[in-house]
Amino acid sequence: MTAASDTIILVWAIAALLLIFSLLAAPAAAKNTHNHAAAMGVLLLGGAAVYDMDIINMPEIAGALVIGGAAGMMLAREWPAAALPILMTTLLGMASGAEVCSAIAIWLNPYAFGLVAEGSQDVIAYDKLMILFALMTAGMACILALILGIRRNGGGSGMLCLAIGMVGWSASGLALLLQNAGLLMAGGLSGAAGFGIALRIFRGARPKRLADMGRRP
Amino acid sequence: MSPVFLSLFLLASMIGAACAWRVPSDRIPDFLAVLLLASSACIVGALTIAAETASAAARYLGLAALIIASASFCGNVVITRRAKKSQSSAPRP
Repeated sequence: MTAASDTIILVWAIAALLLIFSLLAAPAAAKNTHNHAAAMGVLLLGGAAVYDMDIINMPEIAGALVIGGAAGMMLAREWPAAALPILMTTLLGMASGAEVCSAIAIWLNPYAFGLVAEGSQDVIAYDKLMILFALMTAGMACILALILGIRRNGGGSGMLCLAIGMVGWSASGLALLLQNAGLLMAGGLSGAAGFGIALRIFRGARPKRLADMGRRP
Repeated sequence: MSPVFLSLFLLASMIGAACAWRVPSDRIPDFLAVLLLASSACIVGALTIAAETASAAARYLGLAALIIASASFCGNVVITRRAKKSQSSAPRP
């Protein structure tokens, strides 16, 4: 095991711990600490991914990150406060759309990720299954987000949690294809937690709607 | 699937399910905000794919995925802050 991979494993572990802390602290925290911890965990995972790779097209990637980040920040800043749940649904749909694009890109070029056996032209059956799984779950999350957006019913519903869970499972499928343990942990955490909350809501728990976040009982 | 990856996945799923089970019903919106942030970890996959693919079509798809995922992550960070701020500034009855 090289020094680089030791560093990456350490960063993955820290990121996973930060995400677990944010999920554990979310119910009790009065401040914004848990949100910062979750954002820091995702950023650490991104940093580890950049550190791990031999990036050829760095300018394009930096440009894409800046353009996307600026668009997302502008959208979130200018969006009216009363319609925040719709924006959350939209951003979830965007995340699932990104996963659909990622799964199609892996399907188009499986050689780059070592998904083709030596001396063969076809993708390994297990990896093919994983690509289909990631594509299907991300597509279903995208459709759910679209339905919620059309119905203008983004807040507090079980369907939103179900879509979050599907995005998480899809991220896990991609992580298994890319051999990225940090993404696997993040996807497993958000997938299982999203499905757990959806199950609770469908079984009859009645949470406050996201639109009512500002109101206190 | 290697046993290490399988065990990591199962561990993460169990922790996630346990967290979801113990959250009180009135704190579910806060929990959802964190889940939205965690689910935007797909930016890592998009980053890897955009960097490592060789064919032009796959690279442009990876870059499109990276733009969308980056917008989703940054948007989620801003709206969780906004939601928390509006929650804390709401007057208590």
